[in-house]
Amino acid sequence: MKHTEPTFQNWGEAVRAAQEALDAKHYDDAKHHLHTALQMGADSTHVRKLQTLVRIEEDHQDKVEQHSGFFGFFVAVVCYFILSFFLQPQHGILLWGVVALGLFPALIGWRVGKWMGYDSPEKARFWKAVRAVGGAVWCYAFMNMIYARMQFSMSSAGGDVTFVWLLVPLVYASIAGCVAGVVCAKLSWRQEGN
Amino acid sequence: MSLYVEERKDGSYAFFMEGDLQFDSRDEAIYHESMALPALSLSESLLPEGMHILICGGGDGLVLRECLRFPNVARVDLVDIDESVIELGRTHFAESNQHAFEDARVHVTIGDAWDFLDATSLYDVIICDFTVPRRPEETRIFTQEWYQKLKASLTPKGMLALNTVSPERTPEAFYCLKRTVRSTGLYPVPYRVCIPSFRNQGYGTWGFLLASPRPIGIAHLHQLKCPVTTQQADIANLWRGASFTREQRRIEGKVPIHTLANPTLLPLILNPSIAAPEPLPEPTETEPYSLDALIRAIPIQHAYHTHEMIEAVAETVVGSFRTLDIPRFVDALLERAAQLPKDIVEELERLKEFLRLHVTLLETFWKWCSRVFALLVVIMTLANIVAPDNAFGKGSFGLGRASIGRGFSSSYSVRGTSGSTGTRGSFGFGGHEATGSFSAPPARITSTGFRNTYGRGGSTDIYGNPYRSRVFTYQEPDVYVTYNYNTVYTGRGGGSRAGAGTGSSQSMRESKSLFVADEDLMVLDNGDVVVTLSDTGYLLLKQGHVYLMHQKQTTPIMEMYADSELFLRVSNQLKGQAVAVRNEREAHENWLGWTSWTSNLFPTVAADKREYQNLLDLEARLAKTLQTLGSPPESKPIPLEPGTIELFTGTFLLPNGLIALRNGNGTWIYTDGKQWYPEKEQSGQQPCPPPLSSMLKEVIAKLTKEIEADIQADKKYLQDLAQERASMDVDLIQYNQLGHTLGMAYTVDYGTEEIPAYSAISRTQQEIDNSNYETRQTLAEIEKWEQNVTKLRDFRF
Repeated sequence: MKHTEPTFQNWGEAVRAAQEALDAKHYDDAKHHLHTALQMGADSTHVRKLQTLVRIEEDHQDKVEQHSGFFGFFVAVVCYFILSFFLQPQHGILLWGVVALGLFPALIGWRVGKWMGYDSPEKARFWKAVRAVGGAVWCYAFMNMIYARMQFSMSSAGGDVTFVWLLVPLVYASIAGCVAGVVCAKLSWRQEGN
Repeated sequence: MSLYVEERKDGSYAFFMEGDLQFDSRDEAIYHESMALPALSLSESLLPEGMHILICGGGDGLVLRECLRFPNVARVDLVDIDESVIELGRTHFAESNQHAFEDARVHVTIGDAWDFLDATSLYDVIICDFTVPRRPEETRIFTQEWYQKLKASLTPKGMLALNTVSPERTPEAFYCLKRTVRSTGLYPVPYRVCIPSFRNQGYGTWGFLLASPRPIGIAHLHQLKCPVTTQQADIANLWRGASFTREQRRIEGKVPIHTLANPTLLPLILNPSIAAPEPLPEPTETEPYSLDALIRAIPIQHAYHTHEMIEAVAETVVGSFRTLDIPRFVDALLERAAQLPKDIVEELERLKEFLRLHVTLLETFWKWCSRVFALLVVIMTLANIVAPDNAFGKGSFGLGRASIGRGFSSSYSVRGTSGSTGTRGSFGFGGHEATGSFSAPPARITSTGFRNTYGRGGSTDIYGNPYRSRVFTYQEPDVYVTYNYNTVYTGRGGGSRAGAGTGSSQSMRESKSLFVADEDLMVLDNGDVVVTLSDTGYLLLKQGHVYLMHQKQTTPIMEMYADSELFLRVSNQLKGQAVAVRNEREAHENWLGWTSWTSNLFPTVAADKREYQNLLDLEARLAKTLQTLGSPPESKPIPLEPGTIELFTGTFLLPNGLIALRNGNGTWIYTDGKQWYPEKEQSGQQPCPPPLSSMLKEVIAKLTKEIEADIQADKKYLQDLAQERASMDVDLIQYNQLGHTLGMAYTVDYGTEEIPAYSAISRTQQEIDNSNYETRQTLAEIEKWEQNVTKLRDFRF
């Protein structure tokens, strides 16, 4: 992450900047500005209150971040469960592809990114979203494909049908996971300089 | 015989014989008291003067201990073939059996109980405490002949107590034993008890038989008063274990009697839940070796796999492996291998070291195996929720294909026989009603015909079963010109007589059967519909007309009267199958929507794609066929004389021996196979065309065979009904006995329900009435068919 060092004329500007950073959930910046404010002679009581607030917010964010993968997976499972009833590849591969492998992963990836917070590294955000969305898409595709294949004779199925069941969902999961990961890593937080 | 006593730190022990648990000192009293005390208690009340008891087996002395608790026991003879077990009974188990062998009333004989019983002594109580047989030669003391011996050695008021097998794990074997005992004239009362140590070994609840030459029943157990205090068994409530469900009791009617000549017990013990095999044929000189015996001895046979069976076998295998102590085994090997060459001993030492070092690796491996297995179970469970019953790749959807096939066959061709009333509605049309509506058969492709046969020179039915393609060569029917009965059809190129088989080469076409809608109904590649009558005769249905054709000529023998009902049924059948094809096509579409892009990678997907294309093609052809089939104007029912038999649509065998064919214009043509003439007037007779004559012969022969098969099936059904009736009679007697003994409000088992005795009696009576009605109906049907088949057999051209 790239930080630019702002210059403050007095400690009041630093405290205001810290307040703004806190509102924007940029906790590292907020802590940094508060530290600067203290060095510039700010009222330590007021700064400590803000520091406590930042710590509380940060703790809360840590918890959310910790569970963001599970939340993302859960939301994705719900989304794809609903999608199973309304849209399948045979309804038009283009429309299905856009929704199942583009729109949904992007939205869920964006949401996971938001849950993870501004301060989490891009790499961590990417993989969290990949696991959450990819896992859900794999399950969705796997279940749907088993169901679809069970609708006609299993006796005519060759031995490789198991590989089809396992590997084809993996392809869909990879595509959706990558879309979600990229959105989560790059688009959920627009960082300065990017 | 291998004996093993497993000693435990708490002082308890378990006794194993040939690896089978015989008893566990912690709960052995449940077993021995439950087996011996009912017989002894019932005898004691009848024989206060002193009892003579015989114990067959039971060398451990524990049954003996139970017997000696009764003060009026005068003498106990114990006969056991295994001296080492008796020795254990005298020493190791002496405390458990309370030094029973030291009692002066006890007389021990070491020998075969079979031979011992040849003596002339009579006993008041005989207790057989044998181990469960695991080898054919061990089943002799469970045969009918053995129980006859026992019966002969019992006093008229004597009681017999028998250790059997588990009615839970091996119900067939349990009921086989009960039936075998009953076949000797003894009255057996089956009951079971739950023994924890047996359950832990996977044996399930354990079964016993109490039997006597005088009639006894569950009521005797209910009223049982045991004069001695029991340690563990609940004798007062033992009767509860004698209550079996109707389903369980019905097994008895399906199992054979175990005799020396027909030893059926062992397969039932080894293969629970399958019917006992027929007795093996005597080997002949030309066939000295038979694999049948070996195959039947295999505990699992593919055709009879059941969940319980696999579970039981798996439990045994897993149980055996769990008891393996490989390092100890290697130690034992080393001890026994002292005389082996040195290098082999060194190799074994290395193996022992290897096992010691890698045992942790093995543990990790097993841990991961169990994780993978758990994951698979979760996936399979989820898949089974999504697609119930299909997720285990069973492959069969239970379509009842045969019944569809036969029902349809009845409808179209040779299986229609008229009833005695002679009305149209009484024809054997397989239960189809001409309502004009149809329902799609629940068809599913279960074979590979649409992948490998359809469109590749073969034909296929809705299930994908491949058939050899049949070729039909005929002129296009629109060029036929109908004259009257003695003028046959002409082709466009000029006149042709029946049987000549000549016609215009322009209008001639060769069509192959592409789709088999039923064994008698085919759709050709040109969309025409053919109903086959025999190897050579067939009906061509096209544009609302029916043509009687012969395989060896290209023009019709005659145009038949177009029965609107026939067209309706054909149309309904094809519509139903078209719906099934559409469903299959949609299912394939769904699957290929996910996977079609992988068809170059996976052969299965490529084959599914090919199948999809063929289904698409068939769907289009069936739609075309339904269009070209046409429908004739609605026809009126034909009044028929009683005794008339319909051979196929518009063709009847009359009571006077003539065959009547209804012409396309509604008039009748009669033939005796040699001549044919119109409207019963025998003027204007013409020689009957040879193709017609031969075809009619074939049709009659085919119809005769089919009716004979139906008669056989009905006779088999009658046998089943009789067997079921016998079982219901027994139930009724038992319900009445219980009702009279314990009151009509007394709760009894009725199938899976528990209902009052009066209700069970009423329901069973109702079932018996239904069974009687069914029997009468079937007999009437057989009688009618036999009349028809006699007429058909007697028919001669």
